[in-house]
Amino acid sequence: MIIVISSTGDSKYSVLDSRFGRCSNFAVYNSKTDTYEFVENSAAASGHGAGISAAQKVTDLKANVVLTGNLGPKAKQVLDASGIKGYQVHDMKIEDAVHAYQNGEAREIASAGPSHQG
Amino acid sequence: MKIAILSGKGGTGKTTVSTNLAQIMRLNYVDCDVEEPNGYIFLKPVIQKTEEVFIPVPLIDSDVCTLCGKCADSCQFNALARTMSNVLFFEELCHGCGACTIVCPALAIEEVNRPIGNISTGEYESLNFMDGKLNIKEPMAGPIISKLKKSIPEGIDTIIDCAPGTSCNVVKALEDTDYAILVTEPTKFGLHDLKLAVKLVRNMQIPFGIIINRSDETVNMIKVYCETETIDLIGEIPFSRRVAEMYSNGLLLTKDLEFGKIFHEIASNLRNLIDSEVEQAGDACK
Repeated sequence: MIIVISSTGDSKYSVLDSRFGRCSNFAVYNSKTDTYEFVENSAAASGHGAGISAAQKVTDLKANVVLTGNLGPKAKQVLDASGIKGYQVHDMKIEDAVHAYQNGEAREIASAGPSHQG
Repeated sequence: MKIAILSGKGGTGKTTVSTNLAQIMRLNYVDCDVEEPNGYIFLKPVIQKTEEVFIPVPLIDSDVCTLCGKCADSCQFNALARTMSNVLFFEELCHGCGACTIVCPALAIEEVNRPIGNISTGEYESLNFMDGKLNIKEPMAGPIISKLKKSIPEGIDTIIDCAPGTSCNVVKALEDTDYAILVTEPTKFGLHDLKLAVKLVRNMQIPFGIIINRSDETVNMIKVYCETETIDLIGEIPFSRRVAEMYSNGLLLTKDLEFGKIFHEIASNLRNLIDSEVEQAGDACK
């Protein structure tokens, strides 16, 4: 399983970024190998449509699940169409966020938050 | 010749200056503040023609689409996203550039017209009047401004009333103009945004001067700024309740004796400044 987490930095000790579209990095956790990879979020600098572009990136990373603070309506629409579920996690280290999700402590993001919050 | 009126800060009197100068100098008037055009309130034109403005947007045939994602990669505005099941299109982000259609290897994209606003053409006092209007909830005014400017008749001088700020919309309206008038007010906000507007017109190498609206002191921060920066002061409109009353009733200030005189003065200063600019440009050519 591939879990993508919106991150403020590029290590598993970095803090999760509650903004999805404009986070600086994506942490890509592969549960099969128990390894992390980090990719820059090029969407962060977009004038408009950062959430759409970020969701496209997450789709390209072949994610099964996204851990983040909130998802805007457009990002949610893209993730939904790719069958990727979002889960809400707050201010914690990337590694801890993955554990929280695996322990069933993360809540599924069923509906999108307001737009332009990131 | 095209004269653009801009301000930096909103609500400093762009339309007041534009409409009154247009009327007193017998110039065509084009309202490029397409998010909120209001020049018509004062010039009261008879509108002869209104035409819709469209941008081309992609229509994707999902039966032909191979989900290769090239369209989404090519989109500079994040208007397209390739998901695992389809290509999603977010129309309000699309600039109508057509890149997606060009790159689609499956030829699955057809361009269709989407209306974003309209352009009205008419007459006031036997002069040409035009304005553009962006539809509600549309974010992109550029195509309407470009179309407006393409429709400006040659031969007669034209006043171009710009949007506030220094955004793309103002840049579009300013392009190919011969002179710019920066309208400001003697407040910190007025000065702050004026400086941004000055930077913009200098960057675009458009000769310009300043008009101070709501001017109530013999020495104020705008005049000091003009002096230190050696910027031409075209004129001042005094701070007056009468101006606010006439404006609120949709009346041109040129209809008033006192303010008519002020605008005559501004118009004659403006002509002199523009003439000397033309002369300088001529000398530079030699």
